[in-house]
Amino acid sequence: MIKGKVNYTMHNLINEYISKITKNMGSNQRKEISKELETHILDSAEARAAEKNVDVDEDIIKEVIERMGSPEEVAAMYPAEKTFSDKVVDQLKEIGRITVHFIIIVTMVWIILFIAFWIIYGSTDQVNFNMTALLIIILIYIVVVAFHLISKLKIFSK
Amino acid sequence: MNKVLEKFETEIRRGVMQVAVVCLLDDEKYGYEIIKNLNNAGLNVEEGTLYPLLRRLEKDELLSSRWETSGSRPRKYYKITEYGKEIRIKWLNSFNAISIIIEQLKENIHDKGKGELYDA
Repeated sequence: MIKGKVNYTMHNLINEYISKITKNMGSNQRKEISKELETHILDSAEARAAEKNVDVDEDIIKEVIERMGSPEEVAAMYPAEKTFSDKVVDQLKEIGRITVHFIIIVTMVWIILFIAFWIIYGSTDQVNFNMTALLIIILIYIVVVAFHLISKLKIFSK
Repeated sequence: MNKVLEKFETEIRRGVMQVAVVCLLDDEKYGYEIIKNLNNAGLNVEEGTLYPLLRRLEKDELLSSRWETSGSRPRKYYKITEYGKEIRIKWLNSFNAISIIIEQLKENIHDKGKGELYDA
């Protein structure tokens, strides 16, 4: 058993490191790999502490994590094994993200146009800017989608 | 010069690690045990890289695994499969073939008597 308690900070260090490694994994793979890596870190920390004849502390956990290599590198070495449902979830998240962006931008453009018309004409009662607003919103939407696609392409070419 | 050496060793270790791991797993072992065994044999492992490798070997069906949850913490044990044993022979043979080729190529070095060339 581990000498000394694994406290909150140590758990945080471990979880932070592991979640960086597993962040792009499917849920089953994430669970299994997290468990395996956590056991490794604790085993390794225990052995290191025993060598130094001290209790496991934050410095030892840090040292072990350091020795394992950068989370990005480790993550990149894992084989891709997303299941169909993982991919569906990813797609839904992506659609959700685009929708949220769209709503935020539409709202902002609406408010800006509203204020602009109000400043220029002193009132918005008789102004019908539906067509202009619609056109601008569609344009901005296309720009947002284009940005999304570009950032996607960047990931693919890595 | 150290950087060049380090880079070479990182590159070569990737290939060597796979062979080393399948040589260790006739009896089942968990990740940390495998690392200790490799270190004792003189092969320095970047610890984080072993687990993705095990996962890959398992996915390719060279290794099988099981979880042991009765101990102090859950451990995943790996063992070589029959298919893994077949592949291992092929890997070891190709490994030997490479060493033999390098041995032959060493004949072309002019000043091998002067340096500290390691003679196997």
